[in-house]
Amino acid sequence: MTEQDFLIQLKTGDKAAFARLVALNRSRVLNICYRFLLNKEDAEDIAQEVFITVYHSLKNFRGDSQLSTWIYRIATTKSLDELKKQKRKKRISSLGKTLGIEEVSNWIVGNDRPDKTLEDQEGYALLMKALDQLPENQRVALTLSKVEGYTVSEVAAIMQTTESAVESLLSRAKINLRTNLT
Amino acid sequence: MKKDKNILEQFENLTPLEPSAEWDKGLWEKLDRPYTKQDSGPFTRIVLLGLLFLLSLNVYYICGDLLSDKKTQTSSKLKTIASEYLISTNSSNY
Repeated sequence: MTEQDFLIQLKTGDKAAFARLVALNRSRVLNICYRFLLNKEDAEDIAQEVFITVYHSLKNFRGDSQLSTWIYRIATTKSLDELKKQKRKKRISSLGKTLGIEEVSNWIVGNDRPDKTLEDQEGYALLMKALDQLPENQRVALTLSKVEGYTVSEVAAIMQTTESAVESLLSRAKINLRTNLT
Repeated sequence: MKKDKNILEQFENLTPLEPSAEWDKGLWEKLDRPYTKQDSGPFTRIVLLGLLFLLSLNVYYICGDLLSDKKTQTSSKLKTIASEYLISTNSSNY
């Protein structure tokens, strides 16, 4: 079966075809999310959201890129959105702490799991801080390149840029990350 | 410095996650649910809190107005009664 036939099946809402799509891509999607979020539970939640979005947006997929590339792009965007959401939550929470209205600010941001981090809390905080300081495109290139089995050309396809641009982003990201960590 | 190197190594060699059967089950459960927008974000909650505050302020002023109306009504009733009483006592004196 060609990708085109598979896509037609998917667009008709065929659940068996969608189950095959999930089986083929779940591991990579989950690991993209994990690389960005560095938290298992968050990564699992976002990976599920990615497939829900894929399921409901398949009718809008025009086939400009490979189906898998499109899915990984959604995973990247969703992970970045989640990171932004977490940063916003942190800002509101610290503002609440300063104003002495921690409970209200926690309710506002929906902060019901305040201590959900990697086992090595100090290391995690340092790494997250260093990654946060990277420009978004450098962070995306670096993170995607660390997902198992990703080649520079695949990263370039997801980021909709050239391979040489990805290579340059990667080298700058590595330098910046080292600087941010020292 | 060594610690920073360790953090980088930790990031480079992060053990990949494997989707569990539970994850699969959760995904299909979510897919079977009607597709709705996600939980309201912090800004929606701030707007909701603001609206609630305005509403309670409104209720406070409406109640205040009603109470002061009642006070005015009562005092004017009392004045009428008092003046009627005065008139009647004055006329009986004559």
